[in-house]
Amino acid sequence: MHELGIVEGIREIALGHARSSGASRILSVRVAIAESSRYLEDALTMFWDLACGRSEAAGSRIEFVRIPAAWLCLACSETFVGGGEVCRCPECGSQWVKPVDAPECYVESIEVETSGG
Amino acid sequence: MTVKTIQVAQNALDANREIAVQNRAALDSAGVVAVNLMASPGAGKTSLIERTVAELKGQIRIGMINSDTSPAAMDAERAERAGAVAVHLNTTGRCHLDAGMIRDTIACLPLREIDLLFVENIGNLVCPAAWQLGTHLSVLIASTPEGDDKPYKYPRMYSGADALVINKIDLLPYVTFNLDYFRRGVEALNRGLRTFPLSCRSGEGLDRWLDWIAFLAARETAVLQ
Repeated sequence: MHELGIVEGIREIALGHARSSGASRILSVRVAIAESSRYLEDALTMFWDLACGRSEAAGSRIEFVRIPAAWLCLACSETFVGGGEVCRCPECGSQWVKPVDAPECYVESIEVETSGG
Repeated sequence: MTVKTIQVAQNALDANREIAVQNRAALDSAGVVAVNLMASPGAGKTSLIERTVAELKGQIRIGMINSDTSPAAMDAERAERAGAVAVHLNTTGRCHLDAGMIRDTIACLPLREIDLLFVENIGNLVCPAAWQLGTHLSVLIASTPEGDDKPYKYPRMYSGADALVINKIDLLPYVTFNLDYFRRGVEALNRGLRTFPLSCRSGEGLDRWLDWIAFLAARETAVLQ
């Protein structure tokens, strides 16, 4: 249930921005996820409906865009962009790598409905 | 009705981080030093707390938030029997603690009667690393039967720790655990990480750990930030 906590965080951010802009309803939320992330889109989508409840985000869509991840090779200190299920350093071939500290998941934008003109 | 797009560009963990900041302020104002204790299941989180509480009884007042994915509260009861003020937090299946859970739980604790609070996270080497709780320090426990490859497989957990306990060193003659290989992995991720090799069962190495915990409990929380 790792994704539920993330989805709740996304909801709070989306609601905060929607309310401060005077929106009456959130139509969709666009979320960027790093290739290095372990978050499952299916699980995020499933929990999204649950997390939105009866808030202004109820019935909204959640959409994803995958972004390249930066990695650090701990064997030779090379940094590289890559990902996938098997991640190897292009310089030395080591699999001893870690993601460079960067957000794994962020809210890119939201689409809202406002009652004004 | 008008439809418009709002650019946000905000980390999904920011909402959690804001609550963590509030938790830290609540702990600071009560003078409580809080330690986020993380490890895989069975590494000895509860044993270390139990032993620490028993050894430092009468010297410092220790609180414990025990978390598990189920209502089974036996770990909190162990800490309580040893002399801690303990509370069980059932995450109802969630694989890590978050700041909101800690906010709700510290509200139930008599913080003014606690010097040092252990937050025993869910046994998991993946998710807890990403979630700030508002605690002052993160302590990771490794145990020798887990194997010596864990820093290589779970780099985020090791790179974010403020201290490392290597538990069950009494089992070193019986398990495959190359201490040098393990330490090389840790050192690459977290240079100079304060490390406590010990055995909760035999008591070997515990003194250094207890001295450090007593030292932390006596600090002003502001010094630990």
